[in-house]
Amino acid sequence: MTYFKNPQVDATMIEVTLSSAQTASQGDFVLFDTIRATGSHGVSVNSSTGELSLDTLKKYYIQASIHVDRSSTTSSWRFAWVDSSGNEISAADGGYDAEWTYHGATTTTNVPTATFTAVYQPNPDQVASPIRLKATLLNAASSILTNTRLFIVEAKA
Amino acid sequence: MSYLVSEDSHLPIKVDLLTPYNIDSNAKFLLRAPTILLTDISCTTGNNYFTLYSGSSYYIEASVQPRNVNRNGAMSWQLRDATSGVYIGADAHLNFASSYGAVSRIGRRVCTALILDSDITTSMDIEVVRTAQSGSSWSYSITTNVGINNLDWVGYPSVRIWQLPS
Repeated sequence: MTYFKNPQVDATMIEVTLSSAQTASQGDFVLFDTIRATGSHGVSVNSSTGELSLDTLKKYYIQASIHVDRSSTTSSWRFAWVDSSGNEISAADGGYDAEWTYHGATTTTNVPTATFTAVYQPNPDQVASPIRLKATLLNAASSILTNTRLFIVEAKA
Repeated sequence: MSYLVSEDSHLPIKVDLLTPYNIDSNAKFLLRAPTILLTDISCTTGNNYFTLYSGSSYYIEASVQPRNVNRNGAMSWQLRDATSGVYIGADAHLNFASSYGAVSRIGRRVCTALILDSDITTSMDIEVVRTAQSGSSWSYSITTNVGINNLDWVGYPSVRIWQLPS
């Protein structure tokens, strides 16, 4: 005999933001400093290092929306999630990059579609912590705008 | 007798999708509601707002999709708490001026806001409002089942609402 259970698990929605625009270049991390949430959660930020600490016993969906003022109007940008060792988190491990590629008006082929969002959605038993959002491509002295923010859904595993 | 328990957990989050079909004279999206709302919001097709109620928190995303025929303008959009008369969350910005991409600000063309239950006294009306626009020959008219201005390759604007009961 089989019994089916469909329990509801607790969830929290979390928003992580920058209180002021950040001047940044390639290789820099986004320095988030503010958290708002619908309830208790296991997320914290280090505004000096850019580290986003997660509760490795919980499940996460993290979506970073990127907004940049470029210092050069012919430059491209790319942001990706990296682990505590500085290694980029691959798609196989739940890391998806955000990118926008400059091209002239006459270029119509071989240009990646802009994604604008960097997502981290790890398997429940493979949550990396801390993680950081890194500008892997960004013209020097560009500005990461305060619109850049994280939307996180945290759930009990 | 042995028993097998099959467990499939779920989150308490409910989601709705509203589809803007044009803007009104105050540059606010006119909204089309689904036949059945899955969240506890209220929205009447033809209105330029939808209503949230206390007892839940909400995450809202509004994707902007205009057409700038002359490719000479920029614009910004933001969510507005019409109950209190204040703009909330992150705005969306588009710029078609000059050659493609030759503008400084590049970012996600989506307005976002996390509205906590504590932000809502009883109810809160939310609008999607154009806050700035330059250039000429903009269009917002959506042809049903086709896309903006009867063009079938550019997609649709949308308003996504995630509700988490407290």
